Amino acid sequence: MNGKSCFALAVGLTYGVFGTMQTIYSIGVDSPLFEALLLENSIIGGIILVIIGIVFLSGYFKTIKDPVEGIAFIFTGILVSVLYMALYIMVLLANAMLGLMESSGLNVQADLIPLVYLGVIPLLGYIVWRHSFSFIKLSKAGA
Amino acid sequence: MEDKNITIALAGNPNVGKTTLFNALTGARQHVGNWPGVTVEKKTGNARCKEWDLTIVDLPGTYSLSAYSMDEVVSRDFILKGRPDVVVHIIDASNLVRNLYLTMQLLELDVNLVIALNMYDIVKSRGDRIDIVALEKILGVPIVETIASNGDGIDNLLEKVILASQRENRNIPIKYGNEIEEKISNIIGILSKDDKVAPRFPDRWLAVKVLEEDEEIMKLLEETDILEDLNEYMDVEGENSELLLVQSRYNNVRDTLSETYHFSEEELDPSDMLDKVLTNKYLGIPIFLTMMWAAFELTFKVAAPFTYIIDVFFNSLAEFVSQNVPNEHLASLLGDGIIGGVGSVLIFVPNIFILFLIISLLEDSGYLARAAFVMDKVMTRLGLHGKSFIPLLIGFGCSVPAIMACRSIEDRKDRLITILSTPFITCGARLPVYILLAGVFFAGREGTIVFTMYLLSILMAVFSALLLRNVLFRGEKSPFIMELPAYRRPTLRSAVIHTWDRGSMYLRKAGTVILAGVIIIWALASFPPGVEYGAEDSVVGMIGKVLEPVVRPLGFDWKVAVALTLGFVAKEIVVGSLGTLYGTGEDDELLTEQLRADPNITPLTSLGLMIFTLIYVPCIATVAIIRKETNSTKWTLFSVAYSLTLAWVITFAVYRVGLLMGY
Repeated sequence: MNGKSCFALAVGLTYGVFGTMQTIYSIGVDSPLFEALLLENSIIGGIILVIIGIVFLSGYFKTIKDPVEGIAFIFTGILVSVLYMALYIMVLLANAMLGLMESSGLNVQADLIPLVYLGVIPLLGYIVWRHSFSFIKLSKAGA
Repeated sequence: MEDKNITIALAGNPNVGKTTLFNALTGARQHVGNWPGVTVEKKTGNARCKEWDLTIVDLPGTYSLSAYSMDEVVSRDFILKGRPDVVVHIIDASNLVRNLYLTMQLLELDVNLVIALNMYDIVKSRGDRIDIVALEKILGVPIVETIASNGDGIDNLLEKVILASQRENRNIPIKYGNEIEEKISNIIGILSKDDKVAPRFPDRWLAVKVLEEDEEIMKLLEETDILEDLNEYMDVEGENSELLLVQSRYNNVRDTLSETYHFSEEELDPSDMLDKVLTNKYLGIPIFLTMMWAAFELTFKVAAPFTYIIDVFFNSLAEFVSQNVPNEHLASLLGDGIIGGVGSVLIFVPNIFILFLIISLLEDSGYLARAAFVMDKVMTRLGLHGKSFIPLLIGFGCSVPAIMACRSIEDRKDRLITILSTPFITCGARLPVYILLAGVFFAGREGTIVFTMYLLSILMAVFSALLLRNVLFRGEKSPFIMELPAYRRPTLRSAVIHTWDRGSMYLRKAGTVILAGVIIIWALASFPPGVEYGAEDSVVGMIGKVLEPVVRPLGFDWKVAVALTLGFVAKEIVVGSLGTLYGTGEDDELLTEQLRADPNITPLTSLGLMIFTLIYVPCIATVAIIRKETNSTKWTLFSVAYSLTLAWVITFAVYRVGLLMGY
């Protein structure tokens, strides 16, 4: 098992577990753990986490049979998760701006949701492997 | 030195960068999208190069000159009848096989051709190489490498165009092989006896079109005396000719490429990698839906600080008016009418601009074309043609260009189904109604409610298509072929231009139609003299009371009846009217309080109002474009009656079921 597939397995499981917990939390099941993990009360947010997890896990399983296909899933998983992180950082900044304007104070913690802080892991993966994702050499048969 | 004029036609496959090149050449800001079918009408612009005045015509994209769809007819007619001095054939260098097929047809047209090998950067980034000198030699046409998105190669292209315009001729037509060439010669022999139609077209091209049994050309030839001879010849020799012509053209393309295109090692580029997942049959649709949901979340949350600033501005303006305008009527007109009505609409400008910015980024990146691809199977099952997805997506911005985009659908039945279903897609103008009501009655879940309304609008369009397909337009759907463009990193400049083009329409409306609408409502709400503003005994109240019985079964009162009636002109007026009718002036929070306090508007009726606004006629401009595109008063009236009936029935059902459930 190479570095990328280990990474895909770990990130996929993390997103999947967090997504499942957030979905459970959103339908009304409460637990101190959920609050400690800063889960958001959003069922669709939970589903997004699960979908990202599935993309990474598919990448892991596909690398076993077809490394190129697997890398494509890992690459896309990284891009999608980093995209969501960027989007929710924008939400965090907008809420911070609004808090300052309305003088209601900053509450950054409320916006520090799993889609934001988990996104750091795929971002690190992208930084480390960005050059190897630009093009993947294929054998003629695999092309 | 005397000025000289050159007319240049920009032709090419859809989504090869024609409009980007047109904008780069003319300084225009026509809409550009990273998907096929953005240009459906020819557009004209001007440029100047040295002593030359250039008239540049951007033609709709076309895969061939066989004229199967309306946009292909527009392109072919202009090249044949408009006789431009030079045709610039823009080719996506990263997809030469399909693009050169059209080149093979243009070479037969006896026009001065220049090829712009666009998106050359993609070829380079793949490590491939094109032998341009050899390609020029084989095709007999000058070729220029361009990257239209950043203006590379434009000056060189203009120089080649000017040289080509002074050239006597011409290009090297392709050879079809002995069997077809003999047929072409024989048909040219028959055509030479005609002096009505044949002299208007290049001989060889016309002969090829006869062999293809091109509908338009055969219709023209019906007026001639040679029709019988042609039919006799085609009955004996014409069989399979069209297929052989297509095969020959592709053989020519392959031969040309084998000599000129040098591949690097085969590779999977980032675009292919993304497509493996984003068009995956299991993951494609969930990813698309979550992306759209995130877009609406952003629309609300990121807009909030900007909305706050606009709200503070209008509050200050209203305060200034109340303190400095002594005349009571004038203060009411400015405060309750103009600032209240227009202000309650302008407050949504940040939401509109952010949504359009997100759509522009998704479109420019090439993702929306993938969305069309992943949704095709669903669309086909539900009665819509795959190509319908593009007009439907454009409909999220505005129904008018969306209905115009239906021209790219070849089959008349498919086109009519799409034209009649597109208005159900939620356009930007309906967004303020959702934002207002979702904010007032569904606080904390606004994003989800608006996302649900957008989903419902897609469902309505699909349901409508299914109904029309099974009741009025029975028959087989025509096949769907769509080229997926490469993913591109969207540029901020392009995204800002698109966003401004779409969003500024909203601002213009605020200054014209909406302003006029709210002044009329203010006047109707203020008269007869002495009446309480907006009361039931005002003119607007009396009109509303007349209309109220029609909407009462839906849970709406006379104020909503008035707002919906005026919303027929433009949907934004619904919100402007409520602001004016509730007399809340510019104060957004006061309107929120008034709506919450109004016993006639509950969360259930507000949901009904959103649904009714979603389904009934988008605006008068949409009705006009339906009339123009269908060329039928019958279908236009049908569209209006159909959407009003559906709106009433569905809202009634939702309201009644909601009441039964205790809401």
